[in-house]
Amino acid sequence: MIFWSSLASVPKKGVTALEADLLQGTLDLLVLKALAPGPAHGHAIAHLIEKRSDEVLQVEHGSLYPALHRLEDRGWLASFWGTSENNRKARYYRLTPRGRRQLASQAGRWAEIVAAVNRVLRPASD
Amino acid sequence: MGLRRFFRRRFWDEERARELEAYLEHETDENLARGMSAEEARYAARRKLGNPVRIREEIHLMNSAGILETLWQDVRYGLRQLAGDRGFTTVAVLTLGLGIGSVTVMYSVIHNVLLDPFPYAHSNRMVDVMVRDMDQPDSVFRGGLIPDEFLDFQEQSRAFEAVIGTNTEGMVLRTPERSEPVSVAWGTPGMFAFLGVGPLLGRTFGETDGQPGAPPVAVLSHEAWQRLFGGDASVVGRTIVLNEAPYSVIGVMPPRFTWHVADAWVPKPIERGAAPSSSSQRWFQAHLRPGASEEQAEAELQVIAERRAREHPQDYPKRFRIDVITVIDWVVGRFRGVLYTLFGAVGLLLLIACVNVANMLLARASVREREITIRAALGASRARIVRQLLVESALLALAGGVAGCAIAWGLLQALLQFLPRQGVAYEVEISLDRPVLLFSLGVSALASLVFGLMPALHGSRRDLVGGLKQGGRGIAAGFRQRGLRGGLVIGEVALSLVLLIAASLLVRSFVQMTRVDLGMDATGVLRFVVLFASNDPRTPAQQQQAVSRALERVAALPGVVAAAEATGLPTDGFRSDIEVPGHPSAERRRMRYQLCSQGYLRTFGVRLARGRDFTEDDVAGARRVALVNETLAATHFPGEDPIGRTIVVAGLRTVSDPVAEPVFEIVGVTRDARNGGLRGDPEPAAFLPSTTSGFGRRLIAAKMAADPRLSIEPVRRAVWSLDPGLALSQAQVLDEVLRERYYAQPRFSLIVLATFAAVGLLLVAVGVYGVMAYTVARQRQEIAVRMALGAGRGAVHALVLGTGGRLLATGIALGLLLGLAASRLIASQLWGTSPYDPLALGLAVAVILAIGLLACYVPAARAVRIDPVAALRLD
Repeated sequence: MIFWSSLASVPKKGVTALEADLLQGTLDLLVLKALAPGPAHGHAIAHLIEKRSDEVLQVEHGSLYPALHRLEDRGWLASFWGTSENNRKARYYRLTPRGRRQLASQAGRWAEIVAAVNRVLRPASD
Repeated sequence: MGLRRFFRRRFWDEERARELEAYLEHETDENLARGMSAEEARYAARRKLGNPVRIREEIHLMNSAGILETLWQDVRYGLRQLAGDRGFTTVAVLTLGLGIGSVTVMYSVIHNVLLDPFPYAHSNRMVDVMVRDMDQPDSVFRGGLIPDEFLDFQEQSRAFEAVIGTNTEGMVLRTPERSEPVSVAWGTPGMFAFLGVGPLLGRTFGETDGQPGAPPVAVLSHEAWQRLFGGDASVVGRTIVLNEAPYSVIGVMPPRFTWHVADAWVPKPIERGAAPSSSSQRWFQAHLRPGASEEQAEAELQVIAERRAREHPQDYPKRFRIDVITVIDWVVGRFRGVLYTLFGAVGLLLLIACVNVANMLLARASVREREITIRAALGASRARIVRQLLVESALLALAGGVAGCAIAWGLLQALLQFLPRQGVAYEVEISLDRPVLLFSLGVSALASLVFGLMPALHGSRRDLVGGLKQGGRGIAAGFRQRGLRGGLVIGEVALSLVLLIAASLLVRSFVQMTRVDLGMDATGVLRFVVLFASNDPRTPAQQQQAVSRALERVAALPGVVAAAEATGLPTDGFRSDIEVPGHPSAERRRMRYQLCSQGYLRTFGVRLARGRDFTEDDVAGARRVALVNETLAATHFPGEDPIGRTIVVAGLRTVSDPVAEPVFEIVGVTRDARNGGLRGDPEPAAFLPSTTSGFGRRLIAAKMAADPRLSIEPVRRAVWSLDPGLALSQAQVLDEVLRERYYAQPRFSLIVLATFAAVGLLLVAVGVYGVMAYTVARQRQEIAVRMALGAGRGAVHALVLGTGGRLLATGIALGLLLGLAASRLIASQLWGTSPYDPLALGLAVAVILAIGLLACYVPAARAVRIDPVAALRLD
């Protein structure tokens, strides 16, 4: 089980720069992916990621918000106030075109890394 | 993006708070739907979200441009620190201010006097051309060129871009009730376009005004406009009478335009073939073509002049040289050396000031070691601490800069009082120079930042435990720092000693100079110049008679002790060849001479050594008699009695009212007057009756019993009541004239350098005191232990004074070495004083030693008063 809090926030002391980059990038990728089908608010995004990962990625949902803030700051997300399905006000996020391109490239890169890591981890039988 | 959010941080914070609230509502709804109680649902939602305050903080942090935020904190903290330590802050700011201020002022003077004195266009390429006799390299043979020569130079040379010709002539400005002598400049019509300065009122003249038949016009100087017309703007368009000819005034120039120091400028082209005269002979003034050098121009003109000399050998000396000299060099001359010396001195001062502030910062930082350590222990990063200290230094530098500007302004006002007239162009307007102000601000800021940084790095590197334990009193603490501070004190003492040595040498030299006997007594003497128009109908002899009549009138005025008319002062004189019948000589021998009336010696206080003075009959009868000075007697009649012998003043054969047989019988011998300058040996000189020839401008001098200033107007009115057509100049008080001529420049260097030395001393006192007081403060415990163990007051005194004394002694030794090297540089300004003058050196050393020991004594006295019990109990 991985806690998002370590993915979401500013790197803590003791976390090397590479590790921090990697983890932060991962959460960004998850958020972008969650928004690919359409706009959603923070609560929905958190639950979506949790459910899709078969509850492997447990989270203090609050730590999602700094990530949303950062992505919006970079221009990958845009936000607006809307009304949710159960009739409450909520801040919705959607992918901007740049965010969509970013998702594509990051997803590809992720796949490459996973494949590479897997190749290394596979027993050197052959 | 980031910066926009930085300025809208509050908005974004509220936005996020609402968003988190929305999350909680959603989650609570879901929990309720799962069947939790209301309270449980809310609680679980909160747990799921985490700490909302921390989330908001995190986002807030992302939005803040961190440096700006904490920088402002640092500034506030730094201001509090500086305000808390008022003594330190005041001294540091004043020190920096003095350094910055004095460098700025000195450089401003140099810039305005040496580098850019003129308001004229391209003045850096503007040159004068003159003919020099190589047998008399010190004087100019011809500055105003002969018309044909001028035109040949202009037409046949290629080194110049534009050429104008100017020459001044004394003219008489006639009004119904009085006649004023004025200086009028004849200029080629393109003069104003060349100089590139516009008029204050009306217009300047141009090519059309110079055409034959054009109505005569004149442009007035600002000074003449004020003096002669009271600054009345309606003078433009009015007609004035110069040398009995009408000119209409077309314009008035602004104050800084003083080309040739004329009262008025009148257009007149140069005509080929015109006879040489004051209106046709012109100074050749030109802009060098860009890229052309003075040497090229000289070579070119030399060829043209050699050609002319072959056709007109009478116009040139046997061996001559064409000299092309920039206008700035021509005006500034030797004063350049003085200014550069002073600039060097003031540079030292800035250095001392920076060293001092550096020292103070170092001392202070080590006192603050504990504070820094506590901050580090509380979690301040090293970068943050360094930045904090840097901000403090920067604040200090800024305050010093502000003080520097104020001091610069004040110093400049004070300095202008002493600026000599000689060596400074009339056009000069001295104002603060902005680039150099920025430069010295930069230097001092850099110094305080660098030295602020040094303890910052040192302090922040300390381990926390050690720092807390020792906290500002460790005896062994920071040997490196102590070495650095000692070094700075040594350097400061040395630099300041250099300044002191230079100042005391100049004082010695100045005292020597004022002791020089000019050979005359100028007390109470007024000097008027009498001017005759060049077209005056009277013969020179008649003019001379008019002057004699005016003189009689002046001599009869109450309060006049003695009066005389003459061609000049005993310290000047026309130059001439001298021949001595019975003593033929192959080589050319030179002398000076003046024409004067009886009473000349009494008026100017020149004493008679032997023989007799002129009588009224000598002068009235134009007898061929002469008074000679002792040098002439000793040179030409060694071991003989000169009385009754004769001399031939050969130069009188060629003056405008020539004397065919200039043979004079010596009737008296006078004491020498300093006619070779203050530094030169007296030259052979003779005084001849004023009636000998009518040539030359005459002056009337009167020795008054009371303050001569009060008699100026009565004398002028008396002369005009006799003859309103006699142009009598504004009077000058001879004392002031001589003081300006001989003492103004040395006095200027002296005052400035002495001021700098005094400021330097002050800085040294502050610096030594600061370091010693700091050392005592740090050694409090050590001293207390020693005293507890039985050390007497004397031993403590010796400890402190010994430490300070060693620094002083090293600094003085170093300073003497530097000073001896540097005093060679000011040797050219010394007079009658060796650059190694033991008295001056000894005085400088004594003064700095006294000041330094005094600065050590105060902390020593404080050390003695330390109460061992209290000091040891402290912490």
